[in-house]
Amino acid sequence: MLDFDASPYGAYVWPAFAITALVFIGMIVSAFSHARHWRARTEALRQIAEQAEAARPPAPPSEAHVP
Amino acid sequence: MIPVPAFLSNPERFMAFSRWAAPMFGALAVILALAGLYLGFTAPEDYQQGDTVRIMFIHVPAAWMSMFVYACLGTASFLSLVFRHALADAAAQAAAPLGAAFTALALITGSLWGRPMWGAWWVWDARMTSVLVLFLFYIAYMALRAALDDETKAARAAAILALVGLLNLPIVKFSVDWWNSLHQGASVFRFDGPTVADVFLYPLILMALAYMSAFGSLWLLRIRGEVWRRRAEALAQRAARA
Repeated sequence: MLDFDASPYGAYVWPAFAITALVFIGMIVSAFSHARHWRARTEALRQIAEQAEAARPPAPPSEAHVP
Repeated sequence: MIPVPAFLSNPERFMAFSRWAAPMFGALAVILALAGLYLGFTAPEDYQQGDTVRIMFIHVPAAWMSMFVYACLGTASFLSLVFRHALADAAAQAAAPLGAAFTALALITGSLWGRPMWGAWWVWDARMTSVLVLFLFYIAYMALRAALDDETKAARAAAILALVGLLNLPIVKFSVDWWNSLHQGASVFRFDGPTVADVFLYPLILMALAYMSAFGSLWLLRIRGEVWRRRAEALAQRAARA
């Protein structure tokens, strides 16, 4: 049988559980947002680099290739 | 040379491994925590501590994790400093905020347990003081990394600081044996077996495993974030040079 009656210590027990839950939520949100932010940034920069590479004019042929 | 599995030393393999391992550890943490909380709230009140004994199920695992995460931080810092493993440095950097959070939880929940049982929110007891020092090591590690612009220098300085901080771990562990303390001596990890009653021991072990799995999941996720961040910075530098 679950016993959620923490009296007379409810003022200590429940804040301890609430703070633990909040800290875990903070760790989860922070880890996800950090990973998502940098993944999105990397993909955006990679796309820009690929576009710049595609827009670059082809290099002139070197003398060695001139017949 | 210490052999390091490829998925821990090769970023590509690490990313492939962590893609499935991080959610798997996360799911395991949820299952273990639900089982631990169920057993924790069906356990009887302690005859001396009453319902405050339930704080043990969240406080003691946080205290164990504060030390375990620091040991991970120290090991990763050692590998980064000596063998120049880039992933080891990312692992050390990713462990620090998680370790600081677990240590803060240990201090706060301990304070909420101490007030009704000892009559004080805080005393300068050897265990509590050494855990506070551990927390300050985490904060100093993060502050040092943030303070230096040169990331290589910051990583080296922070790794040295992390190795110095390892000296505090045996002090935290044995503080209750070396000095008079309000904390009791070891009652779970003992050569002659745990002295905690099974009704309290099982939920405590389940919650400790849940914390461990949660850390595994979040650590992998944060290392992934670090790998992405370093890739983004390398791409930005390449673009600036072009």
